Amino acid sequence: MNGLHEWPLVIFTVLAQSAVGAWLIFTVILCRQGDEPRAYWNKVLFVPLLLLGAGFIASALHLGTPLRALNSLNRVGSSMLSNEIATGALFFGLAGVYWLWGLFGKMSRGLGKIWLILTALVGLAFMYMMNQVYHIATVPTWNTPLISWQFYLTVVIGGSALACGLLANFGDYQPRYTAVLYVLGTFLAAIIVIYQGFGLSQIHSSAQQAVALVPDFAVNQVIRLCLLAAAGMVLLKSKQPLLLSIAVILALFAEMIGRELFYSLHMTVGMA
Amino acid sequence: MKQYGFYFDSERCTGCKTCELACKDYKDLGTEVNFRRIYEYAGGNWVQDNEGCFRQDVFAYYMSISCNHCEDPACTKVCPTGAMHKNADGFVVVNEETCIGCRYCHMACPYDAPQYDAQKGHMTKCDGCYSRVKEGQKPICVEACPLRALDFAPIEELRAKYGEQASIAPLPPAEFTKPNLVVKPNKHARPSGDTTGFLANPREV
Repeated sequence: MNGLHEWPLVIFTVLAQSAVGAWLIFTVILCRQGDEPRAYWNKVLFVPLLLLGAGFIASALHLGTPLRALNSLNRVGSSMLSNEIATGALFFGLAGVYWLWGLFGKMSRGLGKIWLILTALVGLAFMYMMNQVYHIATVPTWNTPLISWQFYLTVVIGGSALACGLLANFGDYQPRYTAVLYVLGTFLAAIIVIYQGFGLSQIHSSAQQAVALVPDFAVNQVIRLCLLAAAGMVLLKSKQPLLLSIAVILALFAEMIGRELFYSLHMTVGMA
Repeated sequence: MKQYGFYFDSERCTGCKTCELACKDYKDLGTEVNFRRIYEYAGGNWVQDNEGCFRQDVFAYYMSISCNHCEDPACTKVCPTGAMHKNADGFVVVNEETCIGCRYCHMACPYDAPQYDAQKGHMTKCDGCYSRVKEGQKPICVEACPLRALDFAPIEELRAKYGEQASIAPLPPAEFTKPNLVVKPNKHARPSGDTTGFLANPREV
């Protein structure tokens, strides 16, 4: 599988999408129910921040000259990659400040809500930019609506898996819709896999057939969906922290299998 | 300066790769980086005629391609740093002091022109032998070609002389990036997107 050489981007995109997805769910809960008990929320909110931080470190490893990483912001507004890094960094900053705020100070409920909603909106912009990065007119395997679905569904699946895992032992705080979101996300992901599997045979250049890029497409997608289903059963039923952690890791790993296939599918309309 | 472009005569090219090696020598490139690449497009089969006789229609031809210094480059559009840019004289060049080596340009270019140099940690590419052209010389690949299948000149002159063709398989359709390239087709030439043939030397490019 030739997408493996992009492992830093596989890790970065899946972790960032899951972190943003979880943050969106937490935003809804916090805005409706407040942040009591604070100590628990301080722990819960730290997890997406940690994943996002790890994702950014992985993304820097993908660069040939990581010391110049800041140059990636040179073309904010014109290059989707610049936009992705800028909105991602802003989201990380806003979310980090909210977490520190909760840890050290007393924030007013109203300001906290505004801050959360602002952070969530920046997170959504970050997800939009991340998806747009791969819509390159000369890359026919990426420049399709199916890829947008795949990217946004990782936000739903990874985010709801994290939320389910982190809130399972949190009394009444886990709303039923986190579980519903996970099931719905996985179900839609399976539909996308079917459409993509058939669509691939239509994509080719004179030098490359898309199907030939992913000879193990079916096997890998089946493994991915089975892992998602297994993780889902634990997330919906169990209260055991260890089992829940394993289930979350399995769900994220399943999404990484899907993302690895995505990077394997890179080809252009020409010879590259 | 006027916009320059390459001319490639696919009737003449024998796929000898002298252009590629002259470039490697002049630009001091290792085995992993090729500013110019020679693609072999081949195909054909046995066909039965009305008499029941089997005849073959095999074909193979070469395309020597470097950077086409496109009018609408896919690489510069996506570059996050601005390192990959079209300079005032119309040459698409990479500023090696700014490039972070994210390879986004490499993902976008359908001609495989931006090449990642693992030793240097950033992108490198054909600069059209900018300094030679400024002194009134031709790029090194053009001068090296023993078949005189290559030329480099103001694109308007090339188009007036040889026409507008720039979309022969395995090249992408020209609409995507509007390459400053003129190709003289050979008698077997297939259009872009053709699938009757295949890329016969994938490991060489």
